[in-house]
Amino acid sequence: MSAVTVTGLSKSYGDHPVLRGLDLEVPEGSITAVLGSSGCGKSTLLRIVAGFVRPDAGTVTIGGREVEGPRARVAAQRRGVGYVPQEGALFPHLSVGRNIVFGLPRAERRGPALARLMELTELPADLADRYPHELSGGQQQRVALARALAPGPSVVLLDEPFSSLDAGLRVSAGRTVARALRQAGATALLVTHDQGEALSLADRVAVLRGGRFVQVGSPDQVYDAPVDAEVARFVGGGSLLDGTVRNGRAETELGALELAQAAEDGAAVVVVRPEQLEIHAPGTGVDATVVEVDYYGAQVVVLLELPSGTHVTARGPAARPPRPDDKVGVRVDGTVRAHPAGEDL
Amino acid sequence: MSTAPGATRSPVPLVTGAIVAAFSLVPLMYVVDATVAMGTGDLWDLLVRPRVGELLGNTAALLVGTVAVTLVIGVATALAVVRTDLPWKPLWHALLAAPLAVPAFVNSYGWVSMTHDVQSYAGAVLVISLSYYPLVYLPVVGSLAGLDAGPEEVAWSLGRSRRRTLFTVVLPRLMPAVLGGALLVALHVLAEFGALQMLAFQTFTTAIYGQYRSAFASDGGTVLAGVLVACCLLLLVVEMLLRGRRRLWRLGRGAGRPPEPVRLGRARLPLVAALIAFAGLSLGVPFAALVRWTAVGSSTEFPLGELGRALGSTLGLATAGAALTTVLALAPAWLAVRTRGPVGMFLERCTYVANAMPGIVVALALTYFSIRLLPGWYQTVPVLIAAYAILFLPRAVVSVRGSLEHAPPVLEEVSRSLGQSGFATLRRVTVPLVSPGLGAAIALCFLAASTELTATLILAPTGTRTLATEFWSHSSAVQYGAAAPYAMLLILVSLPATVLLARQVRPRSSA
Repeated sequence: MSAVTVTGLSKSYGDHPVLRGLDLEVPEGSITAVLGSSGCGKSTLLRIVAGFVRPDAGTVTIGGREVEGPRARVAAQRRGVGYVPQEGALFPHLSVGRNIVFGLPRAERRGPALARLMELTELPADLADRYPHELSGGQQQRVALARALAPGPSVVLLDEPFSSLDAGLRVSAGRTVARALRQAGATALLVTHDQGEALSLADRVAVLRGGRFVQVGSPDQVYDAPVDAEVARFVGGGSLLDGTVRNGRAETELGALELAQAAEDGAAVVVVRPEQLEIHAPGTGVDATVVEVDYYGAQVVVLLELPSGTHVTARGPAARPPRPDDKVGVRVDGTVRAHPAGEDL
Repeated sequence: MSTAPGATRSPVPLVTGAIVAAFSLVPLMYVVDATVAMGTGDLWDLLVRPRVGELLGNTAALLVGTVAVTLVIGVATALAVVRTDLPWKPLWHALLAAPLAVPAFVNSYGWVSMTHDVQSYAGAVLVISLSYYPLVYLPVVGSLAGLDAGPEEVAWSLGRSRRRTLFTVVLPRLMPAVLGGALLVALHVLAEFGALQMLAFQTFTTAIYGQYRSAFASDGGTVLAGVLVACCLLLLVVEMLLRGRRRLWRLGRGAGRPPEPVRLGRARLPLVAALIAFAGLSLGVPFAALVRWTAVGSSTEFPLGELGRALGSTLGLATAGAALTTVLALAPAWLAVRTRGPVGMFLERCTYVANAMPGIVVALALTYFSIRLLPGWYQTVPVLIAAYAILFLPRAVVSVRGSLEHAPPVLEEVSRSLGQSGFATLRRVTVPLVSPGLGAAIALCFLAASTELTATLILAPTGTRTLATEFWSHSSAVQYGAAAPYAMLLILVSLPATVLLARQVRPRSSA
């Protein structure tokens, strides 16, 4: 059974369509991530489910009850959804404890719920009397989650919850939030533009592009079997090469590559993941020139220029990183995917 | 990601906002209506005459003089207090803000009762500047204290001297505050009646009052009022043009890091001496006069009954005026903060125009309309309170707007998603967040209304006496001693608002 079902959802602002007939099922107890670049309409989707924005067409069902549709419109406060906006949006005039119990009936606000929720979201108990401005960004985010979980919502909506945190904090805050959601057995719909966040936190990833879902599946499905080259580039950061599929192999500038999955013969766009590109001494594989080197400690990401002028990205261990303008040889390890060329992206 | 417009939109704020905007434009309607009724021939004769030219010259000269002097004093004192290692900064900040608590007509009374030499152009510029320079000083302090040191340090590292850096890097970033302060001073000078009457310096406002006294609502007065309003609107436009895109210059997140204070070294003592001398002029003179007239004035008496009655009616009128003004400010402020549409902005701008309406014009407008439309209402309490509302609406809108910005819509959305109804959200989220700002708005309007003189003189019901009108009738009858107790009460009543304003800006960030 689905906690949230969205069918045929459309919304335009003026002449500008944001959502075009969207369908989505969020399974009970899952964490579903909606992944899309900024401006693709993912926040609008969340705000429609929450009841802050009315769609032009389509229905929304939460916990088996139609809350948005031709027959019914349930006000935001009667939908039983938890909402965690960007930057948390804690009530600045209330202490952490009073923020968390805000949505509980008056009689339950002094009960054991507060301690349970703070433990669930891994907040130290002594923070209860502090005020939001005294907390770190990650703590604020967890208070916002505890507040959203308090009334036992059928679904928790998270709108880019970690985008305001710095890179290091983002990963740990994300893990804490995912752990708390799983422990609470909550269903969550998370909206993000960060593919790492979507892949690592969610059970299901829905890729939103141009107001439609282009692929919905488990993180490994979306990563390993992207439906088209653009999803592959966006989700996996792969390089796109023009090529031709012939006799079960893809002929590209990097040589004739083994296909992971059979593809029709003819012109194709071939996706090569950064971790598949091996850098060797000149003479091995295809010649290339190093353009940029980004050093990340254990790893390097190297931008290479092929003889045709095409740029490809390689990622690998940083044992002996190349330098810009070095001549190197590159080779593709493993199988690649080819998508028919000229597909509408 | 842009915030999507709300799901439902009630027409109530828009309709209320339109009514409030129309209400605040009543003075403008009066000027237009009365001028049109006059006919072009009469209008021309009344407009083009030596008297108008003389008043225009006087007013412009006073305007230029006071704006120049207040800018120099306001910016220089702000720089001294914020950017140097001057000792006892909180004390100097308090002393420099304090003249706001002394109404300009009380300050003039202090000077005139000491020496008649100030009844001249130079004297008028001096006394009016001493009363109004805090209107420049306070915003400049606020702006300076929040200014990040980064750009200045970059300029020094690029080889600019401190002095050139001040003029090329620091002052340009202060321009919005400086211009805003200069506009306030200019509008106050145009609207000033009591102080200039006492200093025997004729401007449009004092001439209009004289005309009203001698010939009631005459065409001559109306024409002068029209010219005065035109001057005020011109100033608004000039300030908007000068400010241009500068309004977009915002500081980044968080308060800026202040630069190292300038070491005064040997200049320290002279600067302290100069500040003491300045405080002597701005505060010492009026207080010395008050003390002197209270102690030795032959007409001094403490008629407790009369003082109490005047205080009572002042507090009553000011309370009603402040409450009405703040309630009226809610709709335009809400429109400006929450809808941000062109209609909302337009309606909010309409109330801003009322900023430029001097008390004398508001009073004449309400006289004009109440006599024509509601004859029984002329010189009644409701009309006087309406005048306060028109006069103080702009500053109430600014405060209420600021307070609404403390309650962003996302907090209400979170509350809704937690199952709270619209009313519960209002009670538990919006009101607690907004009420401190609303309190400040009410306080500011209350204190402005309690020292208002011009409109009160014209519109107050016969027999209703406020502190300001009682002070006025005694001091214009040269009963300086009898006026002193009222002046003291006026200062006491103004003190809390001054403390509030001075505390809003601090010479140093609290870090």
